[in-house]
Amino acid sequence: MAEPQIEIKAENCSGCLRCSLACSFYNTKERVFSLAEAQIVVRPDESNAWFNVEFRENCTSCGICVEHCDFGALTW
Amino acid sequence: MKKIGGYTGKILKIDLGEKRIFTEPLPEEWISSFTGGLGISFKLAYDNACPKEDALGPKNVLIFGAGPFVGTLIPGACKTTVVAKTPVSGFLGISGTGHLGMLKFTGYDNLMITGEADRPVYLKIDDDVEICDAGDLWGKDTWDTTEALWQKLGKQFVVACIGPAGENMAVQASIIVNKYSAYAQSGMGAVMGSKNLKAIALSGSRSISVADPGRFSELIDKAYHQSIESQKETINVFREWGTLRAMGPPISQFGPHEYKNYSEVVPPDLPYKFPLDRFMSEIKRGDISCMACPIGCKHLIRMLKGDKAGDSMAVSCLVGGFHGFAAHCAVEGWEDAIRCDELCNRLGMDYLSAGSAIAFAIELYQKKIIDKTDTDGLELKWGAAEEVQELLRQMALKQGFGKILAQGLIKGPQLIGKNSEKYAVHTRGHAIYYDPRRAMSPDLFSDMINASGDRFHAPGWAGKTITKEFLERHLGMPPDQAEQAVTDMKGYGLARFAKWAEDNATMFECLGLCQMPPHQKVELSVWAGLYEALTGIKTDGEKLLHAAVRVWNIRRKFDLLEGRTRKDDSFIAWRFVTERLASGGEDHDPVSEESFDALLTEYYKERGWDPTEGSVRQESNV
Ligand code: SF4
Ligand code: SF4
Ligand code: SF4
Repeated sequence: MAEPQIEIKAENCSGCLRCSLACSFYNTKERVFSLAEAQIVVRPDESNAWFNVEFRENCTSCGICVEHCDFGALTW
Repeated sequence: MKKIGGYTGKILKIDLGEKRIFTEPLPEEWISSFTGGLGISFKLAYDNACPKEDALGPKNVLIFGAGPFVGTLIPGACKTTVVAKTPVSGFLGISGTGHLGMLKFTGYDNLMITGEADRPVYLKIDDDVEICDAGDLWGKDTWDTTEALWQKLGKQFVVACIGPAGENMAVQASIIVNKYSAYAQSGMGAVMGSKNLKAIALSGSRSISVADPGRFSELIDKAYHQSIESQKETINVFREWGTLRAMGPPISQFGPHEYKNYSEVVPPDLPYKFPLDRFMSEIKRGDISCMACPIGCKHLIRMLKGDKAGDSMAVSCLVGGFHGFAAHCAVEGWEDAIRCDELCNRLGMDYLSAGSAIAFAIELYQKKIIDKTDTDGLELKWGAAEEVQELLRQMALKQGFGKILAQGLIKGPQLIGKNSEKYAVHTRGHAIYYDPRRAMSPDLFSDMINASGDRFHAPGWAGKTITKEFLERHLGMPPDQAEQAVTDMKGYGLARFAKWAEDNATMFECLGLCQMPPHQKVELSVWAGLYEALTGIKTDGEKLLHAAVRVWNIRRKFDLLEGRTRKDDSFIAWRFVTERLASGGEDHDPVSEESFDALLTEYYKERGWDPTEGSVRQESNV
């Protein structure tokens, strides 16, 4: 696994899931939308603003999720 | 059915009485006739209709739907809907939220629930579907229910649940998703409660395929450009304020927040009781967004009062709370208004429906039509936040005077008697949120004749200058009709425009799109292109709109089975046709029933319905 160089600012996360949707669509061979195959996971977490954001182990640090985050929760 | 992109191709059906779980294929001809999501739900509702049966009885059918766009990256592709016969009016009710897109990833386009469980249950839908015991959840509020299910199942589950209001079948009961997002109006929480269904928990590992990924991603970029990139400043305003935008001009000038049960206009100093700079500096903590939406018009806010003061809560539609409590009940200041919102959310009730029922009660009390002997000692005054909160609790628990208010604005006044119905301000039982004495707009007209709880039949047109070009490019109106419509925007054009705006809104709902104004900036041809690239089915704007027309016909047919007539459509609350609205120097006449009726005839004609009764003609294709 490539160590993601991406910085997560979970306090800015709106829960839109655009990162996960983009990750699966642009990175799967079949070009599908799938939350299970996305390498970034967004879940409710009130101890941390409202959401928690984590990378899964097969993340390649390609940066597509960063491009799709309009809320400044993911930055290089 | 062969796999078509965008759709999962399956409907999940659950009979709670028989404890039967089964799936059926989504018929291809339904896709071409009704597109998806809401359209398919209406078809299911119509096919399973039980006319004149109690909306809160086991025969009512509760149907969730997510259109083909939901679960994809199309900006704003999040809207899911729930429909059933509503206890508010006995006709078809609809409610929507942008947070149940997980349904698609569990492998279903629609979820239909029938029957009544013999004890409290919840549904667990992931790779399997289970009906689980909810004995330990019954009685809990929506926040505690959600937390308990997250603890048991994990936070990968999206939880849609009811609170005490739904359990006790208050007609104002909503369904709350992940502790904040609501299927707010039309009492769908009460329908869930009548089935002993406390919650639905969903977590899906399925995927959504795309027929032509290359073209699809090009068109996503185009839609993103038209809705977001080309109007960054507007987007920032939407994100910062969300629906609170409506507190200021121009929207406020159309009377969305009439005061004290519509007996007065909002006093000019009311906004000062809700300083927006304080909202930004002390209350708002962050942006919340629906699935796939880059706008994020919802808020994470800080609670200011009560046992949770200082904690955060997410809210979908803050202006709904402003309408319901600050405008209708004259509650002043962020502290109490937010506390009312919190209570409503936890009890599982809709802000606007609950607020307007309470405003009705306060007015009756102030007019001495009811007194302390009716309210179990509660003194009802405008702006008395503690009493408002007490009534919210009583409505949810069906106790005290709340038991009567929980019957809604049609049955409640019947139980009270004493001509109290004069002060019940509603359209077929649904709370209203524009004052028609101010100005009739296509959206308000649509809301008055077609209110069924979703509030987005024809949204956001009040106060906008409508050009012929706009009608053609965005609503798909043929040029000659568009020409005619813009020349008479008060009469013929208004009724005609209402129908086209409704069709457009319904097309959005069937595809699974949010209808906030920024998303409406995307051209019809782009939506049609996205549909083709996603599904592999050839289409164009005209075809998608034609499907929306069919959806309106089937929806109308359901209501006709329930005995809907022109009289139901032309109902206008007593206050609006009798009292003048005095607003400073500007006075507004009562609504003329005659001219409203004339609009109704134009509208029926435009829909191709019988111009006298509004019945759907035999030849109309459903
Ligand atoms: S960096 Fe690439 S692989 Fe990793 S989560 Fe983001 S989009 Fe997915
Ligand atoms: S990290 Fe960004 S893109 Fe992902 S859910 Fe949060 S706000 Fe949306
Ligand atoms: S504009 Fe607001 S309501 Fe619409 S999808 Fe985006 S966040 Fe949700």
